[in-house]
Amino acid sequence: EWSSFIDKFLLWMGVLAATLAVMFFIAFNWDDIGRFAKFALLQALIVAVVLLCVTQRQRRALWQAALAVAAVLVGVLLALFGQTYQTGADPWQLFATWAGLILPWVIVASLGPLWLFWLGLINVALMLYHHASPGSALFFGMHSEFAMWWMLFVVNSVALVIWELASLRWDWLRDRWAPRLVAVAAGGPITFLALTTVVELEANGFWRVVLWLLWAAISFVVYTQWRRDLFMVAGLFLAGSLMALTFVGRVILESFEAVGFLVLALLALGLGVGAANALKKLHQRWSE
Amino acid sequence: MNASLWERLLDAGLVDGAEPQLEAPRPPWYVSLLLALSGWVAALFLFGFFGFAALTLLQTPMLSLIVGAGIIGAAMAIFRGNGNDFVQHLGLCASLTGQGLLIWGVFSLTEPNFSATWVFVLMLSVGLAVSMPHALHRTFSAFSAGCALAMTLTHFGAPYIHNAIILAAAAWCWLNEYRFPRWIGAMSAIGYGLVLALVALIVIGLYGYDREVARLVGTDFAPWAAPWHGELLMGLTTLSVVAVLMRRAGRSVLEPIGIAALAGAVVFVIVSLEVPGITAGFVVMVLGFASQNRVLVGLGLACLLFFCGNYYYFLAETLLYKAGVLLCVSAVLLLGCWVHRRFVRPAYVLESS
Repeated sequence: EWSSFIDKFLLWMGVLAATLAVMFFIAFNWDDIGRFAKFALLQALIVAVVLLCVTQRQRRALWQAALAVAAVLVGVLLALFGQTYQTGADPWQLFATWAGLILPWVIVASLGPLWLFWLGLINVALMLYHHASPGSALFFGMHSEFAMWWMLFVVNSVALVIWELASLRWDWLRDRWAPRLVAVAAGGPITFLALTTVVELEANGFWRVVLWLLWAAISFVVYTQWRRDLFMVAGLFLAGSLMALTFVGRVILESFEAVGFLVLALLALGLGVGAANALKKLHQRWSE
Repeated sequence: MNASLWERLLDAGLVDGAEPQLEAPRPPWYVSLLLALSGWVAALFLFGFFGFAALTLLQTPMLSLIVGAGIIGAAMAIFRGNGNDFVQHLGLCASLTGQGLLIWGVFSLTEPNFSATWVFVLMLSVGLAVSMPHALHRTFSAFSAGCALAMTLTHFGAPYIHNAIILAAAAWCWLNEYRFPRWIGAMSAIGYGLVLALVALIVIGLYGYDREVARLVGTDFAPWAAPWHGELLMGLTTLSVVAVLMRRAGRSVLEPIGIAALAGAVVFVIVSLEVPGITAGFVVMVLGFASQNRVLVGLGLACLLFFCGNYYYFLAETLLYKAGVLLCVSAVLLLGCWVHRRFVRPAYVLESS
């Protein structure tokens, strides 16, 4: 065992040190390298990685990892392009183009983390687009800062639905950690929107709370009856506890008295213990 | 377990007594996390209530000392009571508040001379790491003890040797993890805390914040330890760890393999003079492998990768010089790999056959 450990340690640390040495050397000479040489270097690297992918088709993990690396390097190439040719393009265009160009590879790779990465690029592109062009038709014509959160909620919810349905067909989508992350990306924005209504106690924002309740109810039914997932239910309980605490805190702490803190402490206690007990019972029932 | 299996085991004389009852399945980590978060939020609101109601506590150092000690005692009782996750985290928050009140009381009583305060904080953290029967609390207290040791030694004019002492203490915990059966869980919890403290202190040193810490800590003592003292102690600790592991593998350090292992360790110590943090990452990784602890191996590997990557921002030398250093290190490591495969591994195979 020690022999194997020492062998792997010396080999991988040696390779890492050599790789860093090459990177440091290139960084040292970067300003002196001509623009065509820079592009040639990066493009040669992408071609080499894709060749590795094509020649190693029988080793699934290796060619998938190679395709993922190539997908990331495309972004580096686009960044270099933007830096070299100052075309005045907006940052969102880099991420949108990146997502568009790597889509065929993402489909071919059949790799959950790569799909998650692609969805992340879409999210970043949308956030940057909203920053550059607020009030566009893409954001339902809304000028407010809430438009971005609505769009993120819609896009990630659609992605979650597609992911859950696709996982019925393809095995490689059945790992639960990825749709859980997407669910957090969908639930986070809608919970934030509902919380802003609660914090500001504005009557005309009440429909955000109604929509949040609708989303929570649908998610609860889906993840307790159809696709049993305790993490999703725990997330719903957490969001609900946050809403309840925020509402009560908003009302009680207006007068800022000590007893308000005591009430909030007891409420947090009750919500936490109640949620945990419900989750434990559910877990026990599903384990039987 | 079904009845027929238990009966068959009974008949075969492999078990005795009544059939054990199945325990309820342990809930997943995120349920415990939810309870922990609720405990912390409830505790913070509760202490907000006490803070409003008892402002005189902070204005009276002796009262702050007594109440702080009382709260720590209550936290210990909570931990010994073995309540659920919620109660355990409530106890953790209570203990932290008690420690804050205790330290505030000592701080107020001893100012402007803080020598006693730093020594007290160190002793309190060590005492709590040893006595509190809660894994997360031990880890936190060990982390505090490591940071307190750094502050105490900085205050007393020796700011460079704390990393080596913390590494030695962490190595002792991990190398003796199973030596005291009643303390197995405690040793690993304290070991994690010390490793995390070591990493944090190296990172603070890397980004130059140790000078800010020294100014914050203040000192009336002339510095008596030089940076090379710390490097020497780190080197001796590394060599000691390798020597102990060699002995446990039934090898003498005077054998060729022992000499090669020590030489390899010396290479890492020398590299660490150029690339700070490498020795610590290497030792943590080796300790993790020796304990078959994947978390520790992962932590050591993450440290190695982080400190290697951070070398890029080491502005004292040019990138060309640093590339040269890394190339030399790579050559030595790959040569070592070749020597191991060509000479050492065949010798293992021959010996075991």
